[in-house]
Amino acid sequence: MKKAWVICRKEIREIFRSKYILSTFFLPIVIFGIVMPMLLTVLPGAFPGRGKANFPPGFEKILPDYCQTDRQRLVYFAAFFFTGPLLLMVPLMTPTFIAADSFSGENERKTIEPLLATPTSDLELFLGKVLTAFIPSIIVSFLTFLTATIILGVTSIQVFGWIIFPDLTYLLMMVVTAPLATILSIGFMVLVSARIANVRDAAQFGGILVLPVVLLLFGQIFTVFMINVFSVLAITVVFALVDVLLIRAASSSFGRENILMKL
Amino acid sequence: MSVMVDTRDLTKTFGTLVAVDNVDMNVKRGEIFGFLGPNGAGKTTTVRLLCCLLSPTSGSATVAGYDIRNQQEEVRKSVGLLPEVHGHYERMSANENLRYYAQLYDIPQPDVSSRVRELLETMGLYERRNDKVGTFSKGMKQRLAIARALIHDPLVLFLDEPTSALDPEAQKKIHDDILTLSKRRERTIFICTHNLAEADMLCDRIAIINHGKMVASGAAERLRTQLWSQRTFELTLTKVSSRIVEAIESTGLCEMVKAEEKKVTFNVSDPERNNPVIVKAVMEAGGHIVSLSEIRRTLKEIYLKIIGEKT
Repeated sequence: MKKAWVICRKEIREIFRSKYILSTFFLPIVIFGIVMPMLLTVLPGAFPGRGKANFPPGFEKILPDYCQTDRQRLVYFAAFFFTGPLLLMVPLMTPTFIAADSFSGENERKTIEPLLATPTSDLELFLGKVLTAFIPSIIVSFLTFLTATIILGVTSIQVFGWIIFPDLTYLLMMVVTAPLATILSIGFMVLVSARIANVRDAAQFGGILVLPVVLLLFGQIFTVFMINVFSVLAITVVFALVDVLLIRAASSSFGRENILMKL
Repeated sequence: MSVMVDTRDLTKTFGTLVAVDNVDMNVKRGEIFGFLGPNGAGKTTTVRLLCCLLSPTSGSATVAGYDIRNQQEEVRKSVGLLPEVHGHYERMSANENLRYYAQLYDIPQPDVSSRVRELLETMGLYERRNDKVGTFSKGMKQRLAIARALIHDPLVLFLDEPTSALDPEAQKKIHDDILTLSKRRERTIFICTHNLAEADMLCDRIAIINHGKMVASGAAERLRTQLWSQRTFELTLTKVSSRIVEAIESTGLCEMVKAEEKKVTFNVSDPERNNPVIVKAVMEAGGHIVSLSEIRRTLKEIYLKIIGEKT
């Protein structure tokens, strides 16, 4: 498997020379890790007393007892209802750009033929490319989670006197669900790239992956669906099953002949 | 001389399209083999089969003694491929591109730097080794692609249009390198080209493929003899008269005689026996001969005649 690492190292080095791909690393960290938590928690604290917070119907019933003031309710809402699903979006979204560049990009730039002519097995090629998408994506996901956690943590100390976020559910989400979501996204993109040879078209098509998370987000906001340890475990199991199916399908579609036929 | 490329009824179909149709050929060690044919004839598919990028539908082939079906890794280690499109990573430097391929071809780490340097120097790219390949000219990219194909010192080299983007000076250098690899280092070179003058000059033998079928193969000289029973000669004289033309025609040896102011062109079979008779007739008719030379059929004429006959 040495060559899988050779491919992965080279691809990551190349990725860091693409402003387009690099921007897809920083944007999630900035938007989901910094801007969104700050907008939802820090900013309202800067303008106390300006209007009354409106929460979804049924929200009051599920609030814990320690949420007494509007500001406390808002921070709780931001942390557990809003930030969580958004953070799940990052491991699904980030690999789509890298995987599209790594898989469809080789075809688009016509670099694939000399690579396929080397004595590298299909499995090594596949693993090299999967690792290329997995490693930076999981780092971006953790960094996004870390920055959001710091902001939410600092705010919750100010507002509650102790750290309310992350709880066990969100730790489970980041440590187990996020890597599985990343694999799901990569597997999906390998299959997309087998049919779409253009990087941007492939990446755009990969955007549909975030739709289930958007539904999850709205489900949370309208208290139809709640994120808790059980629901996260259920999501994790579903992701794991889908991962197995996707990676099987993706690896079998990743043969030299299939790849060359797209050129 | 051992056989380095050997195919038996090699066939590749894509759906109903027969891209390569029962191709039989063999290429020997140290030989330069030209693979010619119109666009879409099956040249690239054949090369991809021989480099184990595609699997044959039927038939068999060995490359460097290894079976393309069952010993794919060994085949890939033994061949170097210059594809039609150079396929460099343009965000990386020439040095990085070659080092990457050196690792993928299992070149021992201590040897990588010296091998990369040697190839960059040979191809005249050493000064630009740290520049991004995206900034290179077409010719430089082509030279780098040849360096990449040679990185593991393959026994068999497949070159698809090796000099298509190069200026005459660079073309000559590549031709010299190909000849050196073949004649001094006994590397087998398999060239797909539309440049028939290049093929004529470099190749020991050629094969012509059309609609997936091999329609001719052999040394260019042998194909000439097969295609034309008569050879064409040009006789230059101080002055051509009707008496001289009549004298040539009266020998009854020439199928065609064409006269110009100072030249007579004629077709003749068995020139070793018949040309002295013609020369004697010309001299007896008062002709003063300046020179007698053969107008050699070019590979282009051979190619067009074969392709024309078969389509």
